[in-house]
Amino acid sequence: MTLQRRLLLLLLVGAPLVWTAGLLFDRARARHEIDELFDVQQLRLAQQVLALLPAAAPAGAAPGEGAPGTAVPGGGTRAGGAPALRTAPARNPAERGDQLVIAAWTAAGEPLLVSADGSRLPFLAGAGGFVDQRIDGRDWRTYYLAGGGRVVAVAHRVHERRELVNALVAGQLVPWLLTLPVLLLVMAAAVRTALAPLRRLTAGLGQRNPADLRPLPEDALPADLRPLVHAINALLERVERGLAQERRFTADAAHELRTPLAALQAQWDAARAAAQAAGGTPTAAEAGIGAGLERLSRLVAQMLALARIDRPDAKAVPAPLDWPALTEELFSALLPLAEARHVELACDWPPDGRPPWPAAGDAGLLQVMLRNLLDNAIRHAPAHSTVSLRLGTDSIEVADAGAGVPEADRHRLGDRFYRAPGQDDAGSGLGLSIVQRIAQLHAMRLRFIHGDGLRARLEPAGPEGG
Amino acid sequence: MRAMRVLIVEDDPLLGDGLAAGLRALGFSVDWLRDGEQADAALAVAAYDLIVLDLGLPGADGLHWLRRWRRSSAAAPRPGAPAAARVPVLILTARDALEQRVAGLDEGADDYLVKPVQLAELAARMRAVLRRSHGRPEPLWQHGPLSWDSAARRASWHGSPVELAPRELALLELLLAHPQRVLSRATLQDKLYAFGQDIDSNALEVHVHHLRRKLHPKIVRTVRGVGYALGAAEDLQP
Repeated sequence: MTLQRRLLLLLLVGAPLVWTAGLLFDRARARHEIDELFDVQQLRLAQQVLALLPAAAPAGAAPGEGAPGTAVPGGGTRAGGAPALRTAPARNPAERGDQLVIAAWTAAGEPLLVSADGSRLPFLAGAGGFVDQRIDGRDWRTYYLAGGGRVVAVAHRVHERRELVNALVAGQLVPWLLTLPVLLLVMAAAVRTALAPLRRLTAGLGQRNPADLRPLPEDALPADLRPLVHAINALLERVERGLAQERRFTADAAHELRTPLAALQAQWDAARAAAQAAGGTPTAAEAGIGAGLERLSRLVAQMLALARIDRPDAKAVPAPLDWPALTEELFSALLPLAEARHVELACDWPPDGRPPWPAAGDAGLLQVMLRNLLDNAIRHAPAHSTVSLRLGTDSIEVADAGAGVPEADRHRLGDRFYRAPGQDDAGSGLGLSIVQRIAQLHAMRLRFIHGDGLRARLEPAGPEGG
Repeated sequence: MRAMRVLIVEDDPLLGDGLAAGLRALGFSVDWLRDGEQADAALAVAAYDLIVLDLGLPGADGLHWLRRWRRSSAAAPRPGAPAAARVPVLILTARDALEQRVAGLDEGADDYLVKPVQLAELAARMRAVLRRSHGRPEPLWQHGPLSWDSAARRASWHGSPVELAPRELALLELLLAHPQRVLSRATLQDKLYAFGQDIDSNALEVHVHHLRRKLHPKIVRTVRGVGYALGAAEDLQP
């Protein structure tokens, strides 16, 4: 999962969670505040009602003997033993949420004052303070106050309180729900923007040629990415140094091998020349030594060539190409091998005197490349066949009449030190690596075409790069 | 016939020894010296036909000595011998970067070979250098059954003289002077023109045809699309 997706996911889950928690907290607070508000109201009202009720008759007085005609809050009147009294909320239906229900009793439980709903309030002897009760399937919160032989109860429906809380919370919820998608979109955009340098860094690294070990740019980076890029650069530098060391070692080793190899070759040739002068014919073992020396010489030359072109900073220096001069040089260099193998050489030019492709390139490198291809072809061509270099207007081909490489092994062509099975000749397996590297430096692509011999074809690499 | 006298300047004992022994076996008269100082001293007193020079010598390197010999005004150590400044030099080195090769040729080397080299190739290149040298060309050039008398400019096949027209002689001499090289039509025409033999492109084919008829079908090798080369000596047997 990408860092960006993870961050987005965390934000998408986290923001609603935090927001829900906040909502729950708000709701709890609102509930508490509203409870407190109504509790105080109930308490005050109970005190007022108690104060307004006529004091209890002396002991033994008949219940219901209150102060006749006494006005009670809410405008109700005392009516016999069961006067119904509507309290404040009745006057104002819009404030039904504030509806309080009042009841009053004598200390013995005789109703003195009853509102329509209050009639249902139970008389609780000796009750004082707040009581939560369930009456006719509804929850009520009732305040009981006793004094002067009277008991006053002021009740409020819990449901009404809850509705008020919910209305308050809903007032917050709606704008939140409307802004949430916008918020999430803004967060997504912010995350994308904030992570853009990381994305650029990733893309830059992803597009890199594996041989490209140049350091990444460290300026214009966010401070928290800089240590990472710095570490990557340090690593690249170490890898580069290691590779350079390895390349230098290869080049030095190959170079240092040349003189002893030349000495060995010279001593061997001197011995052979002396033996030949004495009229001896070479034995199979002697021929084997000669072939081994030739193979070793070729390997050393190719290792040096590869070490030289394999550096990341190696580049082709293009110049207009003089193809006639180049081919003259090239075929001259190959002539001894072709003679030894009894192979004919030929060069085909584009028809109608058109100039061969490419018109420009690094003559030295192209010569090394074509020499390796032709060398390979000559070594695998049957005796008395022809190896030809076919210069076209948009491709170069090296064709031989050899058997080619078995289907199953073709994908390994070009692997370093890989030699096709059954190859008994002095190949090092480095030649194709050299060819491919030089082709790459010239934006060329190499492929092999089988059928009626083998053709190694160089053509312009597509825009996808090669 | 006097053997060609060759000076080998090579510091590696095993290589110098091998080269000297091999070239002697091929009939060259060889002096082998280990550094430039000794070679310089030897050049002042002995007449050499050719120098095989290593570039990586102890002390001053081969290019230094080559430059010095090419600029020297010392007279020839013997009348008739080439002065040090004109002795053909064949560089034999482990350095093969293109620039170094060019530098060597720019300093006046006649050819450039990269180690390791097979004796046969070294000898062939030495002969080619000798044939082209301004000093004193090898008097008798041998190529399989073909002999070429460079002073009289006469060819013989298995010892019997062959009658060749002047342009055929010029073409054969040119091919013999550049063994193991493919010469393009343009190069051949240029060089023949310099010899005072103006040959047009179609005539070139005719002369090649004559040489093949008079000497051997394989005396001239055609590299289709590139040019002509001297046929391999071992292919020239009947």
